[in-house]
Amino acid sequence: MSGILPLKLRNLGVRIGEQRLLDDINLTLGVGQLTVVLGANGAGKTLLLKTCAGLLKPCQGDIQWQTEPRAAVSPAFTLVFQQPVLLHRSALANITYALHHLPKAERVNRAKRALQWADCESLAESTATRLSSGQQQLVALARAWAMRPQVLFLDEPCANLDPEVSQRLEQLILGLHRDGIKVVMSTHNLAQAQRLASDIVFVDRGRIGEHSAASEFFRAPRCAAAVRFLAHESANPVTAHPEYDGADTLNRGLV
Amino acid sequence: MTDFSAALSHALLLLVQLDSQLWEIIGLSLRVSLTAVTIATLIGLPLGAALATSRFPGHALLRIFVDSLMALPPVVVGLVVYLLLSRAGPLGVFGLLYTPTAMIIAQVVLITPLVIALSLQVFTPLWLRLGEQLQLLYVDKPRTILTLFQEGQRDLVTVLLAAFGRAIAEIGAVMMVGGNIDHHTRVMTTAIALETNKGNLELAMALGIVLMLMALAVNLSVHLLSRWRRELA
Repeated sequence: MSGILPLKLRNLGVRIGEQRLLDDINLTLGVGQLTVVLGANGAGKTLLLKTCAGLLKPCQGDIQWQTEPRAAVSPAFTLVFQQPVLLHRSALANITYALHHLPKAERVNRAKRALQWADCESLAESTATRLSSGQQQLVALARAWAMRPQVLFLDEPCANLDPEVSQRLEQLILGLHRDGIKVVMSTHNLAQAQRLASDIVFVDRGRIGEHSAASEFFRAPRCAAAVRFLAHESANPVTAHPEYDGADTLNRGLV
Repeated sequence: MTDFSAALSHALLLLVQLDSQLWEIIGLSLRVSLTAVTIATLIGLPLGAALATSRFPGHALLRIFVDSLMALPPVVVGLVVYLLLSRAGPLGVFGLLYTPTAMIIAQVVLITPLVIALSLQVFTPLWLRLGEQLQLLYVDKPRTILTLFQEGQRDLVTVLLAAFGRAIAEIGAVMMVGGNIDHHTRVMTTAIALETNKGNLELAMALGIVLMLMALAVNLSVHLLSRWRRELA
């Protein structure tokens, strides 16, 4: 399924205006894991996802997909934003719009199945922009599912949503992962990361602080910023990894 | 005051009696301004959308230039169009000076920058909200522009009403290139100026009332549209 993976970021930097917001990013995302990008607000999680999805152009380094020749937007991957972006038309029409490359009958058919998949067929004829935040996020996720991407980037999909909707979204995300879609999602919700993640990419001040298996990360983080983050975000005390060397940021990726 | 009351009552009588001269002038005004708005829309809206969705060197300067053109003095537009269309001008061969076509051209020049600048104010926030998502949905440029039109249609109607309001109430440019010729290029604004000079206050007043009613209708439409938008939001 994930023919375009692995995704390799090499010495990547992103600058907006004069400010360098991502720097020296070296990361490899392979097939199989559900990757969670963790980090404090403003650490660069969204920028990292947008850059991977081809929306931002790196000022240095490169992004290399296995089968995509360059770092640009591609139908092989898509991104769902924290604030879902929907058109001022019905939920069903929002999904059929995204399937513009398909014949009309197939578009409608697949869009209906997408809403069924997200268990929100009842919203089909509702104007998407007037739905609640949670319902909008479900429609956005259904739209992403309908597009059949190989890789799905999710930018804090459950931020500001009530626990019930968050739980529904988590189930859907796990479903996508089980269906073989590579999911890369950002969050700063530790409990959610623990429930979902196979591996963690920890971002700190625009750099990759750590990339390790989720169990390892939560048991014994390797970088100081991750230790601080976990200690701050979690009620449980965190023990640093025995190999932790005190450096603020490390670029250790899983290949 | 008596003169004013007499003129007003006479004006209302002309309107009620469907005075042919009066309605000829109103008809020409509407024909000229609606044609100008249609042409300015066809030119201005796609340009506004293209400017909102693209970035190139000089983009910011171009936006400032377009904004500045909104304040173009009508007499300057009239003068430039006059020079272009006059017998010695580059377009003199077409013999358009002192025709309704010349008046339409002048109004198009006057209101197209207004349509571009106001539509930019509609398209820019729409593009900021939708741009990245449309890229992710792999939508090509023509479909992107069409989507922006669809998403902004209610605001764009307001833009067109504003353009029509400016066109129908304009006098300087149409006077210079139309010449205010009776039964040929006389529109409401030029007729009001002329009839007032001649002391024919009844006709001037009747035209003034129609012009005011049109301005009121345009503003009322803008207001109702804004309220409708708020209710829908």
